Amino acid sequence: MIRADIVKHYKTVHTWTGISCGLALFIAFYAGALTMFQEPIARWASPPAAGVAAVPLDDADRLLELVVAAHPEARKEGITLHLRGHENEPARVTWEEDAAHQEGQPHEHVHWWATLKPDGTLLSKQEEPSELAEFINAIHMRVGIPEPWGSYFMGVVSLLYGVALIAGMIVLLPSLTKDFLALRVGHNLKRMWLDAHNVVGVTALPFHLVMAVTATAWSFGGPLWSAQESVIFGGRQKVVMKRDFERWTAPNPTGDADVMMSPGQLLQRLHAQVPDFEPKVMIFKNFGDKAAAVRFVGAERGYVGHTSFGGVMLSAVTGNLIKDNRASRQDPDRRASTTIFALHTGEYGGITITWAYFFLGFSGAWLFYSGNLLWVETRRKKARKGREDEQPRSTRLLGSATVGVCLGCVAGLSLTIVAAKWLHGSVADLNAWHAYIYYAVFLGSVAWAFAWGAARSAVHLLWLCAAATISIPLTTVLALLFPALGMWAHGSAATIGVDVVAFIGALCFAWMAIATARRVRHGPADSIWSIRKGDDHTAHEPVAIAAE
Amino acid sequence: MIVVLALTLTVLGCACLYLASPNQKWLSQNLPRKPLLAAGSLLLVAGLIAWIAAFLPLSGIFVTLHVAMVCLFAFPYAAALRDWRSN
Repeated sequence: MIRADIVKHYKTVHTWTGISCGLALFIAFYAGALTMFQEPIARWASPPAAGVAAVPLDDADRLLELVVAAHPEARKEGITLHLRGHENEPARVTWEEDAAHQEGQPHEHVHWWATLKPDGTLLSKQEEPSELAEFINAIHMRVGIPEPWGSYFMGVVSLLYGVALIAGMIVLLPSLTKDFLALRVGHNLKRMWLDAHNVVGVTALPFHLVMAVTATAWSFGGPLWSAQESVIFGGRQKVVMKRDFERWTAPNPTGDADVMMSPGQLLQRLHAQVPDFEPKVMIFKNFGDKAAAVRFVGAERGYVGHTSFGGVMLSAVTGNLIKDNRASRQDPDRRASTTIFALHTGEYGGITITWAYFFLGFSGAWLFYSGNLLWVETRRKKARKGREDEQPRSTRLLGSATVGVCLGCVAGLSLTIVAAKWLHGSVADLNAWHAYIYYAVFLGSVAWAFAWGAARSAVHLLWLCAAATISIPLTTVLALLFPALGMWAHGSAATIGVDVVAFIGALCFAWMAIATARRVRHGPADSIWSIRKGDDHTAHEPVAIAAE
Repeated sequence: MIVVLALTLTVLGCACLYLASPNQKWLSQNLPRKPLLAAGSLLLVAGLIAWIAAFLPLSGIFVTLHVAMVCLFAFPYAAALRDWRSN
């Protein structure tokens, strides 16, 4: 039995670590849940490449030869041949080139795609792909704070998150058996919020522990690596790392030309040598050279972390296996680290794990939201003997912050997804506009929540979330009905899935908005979630609790 | 096919575990606990074996764990939602 005073200390630790990092964790988990469908979102947001017909794989060797002849600099960076034909892969062949950059500044790349015209000549175009999915991932990783401070901030937040998890479990231990899986809905709001918070926190504890540890490691990875290098290893870490990188690097070009095997032949050679490997793309390095290599990026099904650092390299001249970095061929230390990080990204188990992580991500967001609501409810001043006290300033402020930050993030992400179709072709730098829209909606929502108070703004912003999210499938419907708008509606299951999930999400937000509006008008007045302040003498009668 | 089987076994196993809990809200009366716990455990083990058959041992263990986590928080919420609607 744990002493009551110890439990009390841990409760204080849990409360304050949770409150201090809950809002950032809500953003990280909500955006993180969306990143589980990063590829379908990227496909949904990518315009069809105008005038580009799919080049059959049998003609890909000719396409590669034409690209190399017209863009010889692409040989060194690597030419990617896409095998799946997804919407976010504008043509069979793409590559990157170094963009002009200032001395000392990081390298940036421009993106090219190429295909064959009907007459068999080359059509190549520089076009930046949609970075919407990457933007959502950046919000997930750094909650919108620029590097390197975003990583440091999230590192601290992840550490506090881990502390909050452990402290929370210690607080729960005395009543864990009795209250496990209990969710009591009733007039005792504090009990209800506590149960709602605990059910998610306890049942998904292993998931949260893994997230806390891996997120901390990721966020502090750079500084920790540098510190280790200078304090412990004295420069040897870099040598080991360089040796490690050699496992993925292509052989140096010889300068002698040779005949390349066709992509179809190379695929046959791959299947013959590594039959369990499922390639997504082929990356040709030094095409045309005697030492040309092709790296197959893909997955070896069944492994945790089936694609991370994976890949198989064949000689593009002979088709012989040069390097094999499949999951099953990794060293134990590499395998261990890949497994741990894949537990963060959900890179295993196919669609089942994608959906499981999606729901666990939302449940995590809910965990932090409900934690804040519990804090507010615990400090609520109940009206006594006809006297109605003003709610504490701290609860009003946290209520507004919770509503503004959480719902601002939801609405901002939905609207920035919608913008991928509405703004395409209308603005010069759509990827920058994704950020402008998100931050404008997010900051506007926070300001709105503080201006109108938690109760009113919760209703307004939930309707905004519903409207922004329903705009995703509505945009697709409009694109189908009015092609003159210049938008697109892809017909693949993945992109239709984005619309369907957004539609269901919008219905959920609308339901929450209706329930919250009812609570705001008819719920107990002695709460920050009510707009009835002393104007209704029935305030203290028990009423149905809808949204609180 | 084996994934559907594995998913079904895991979800049913978690449902049995939830029903075995004294805090379950699906049924108005609690059912005998031990048979439900035994059935739930057996179903979860069967689900684990099926997941391992579908993937590999390590993946199978983690998939079972994560599906079980989703079920175990979703079931109390589903019951609470039903109670809230009926009130």
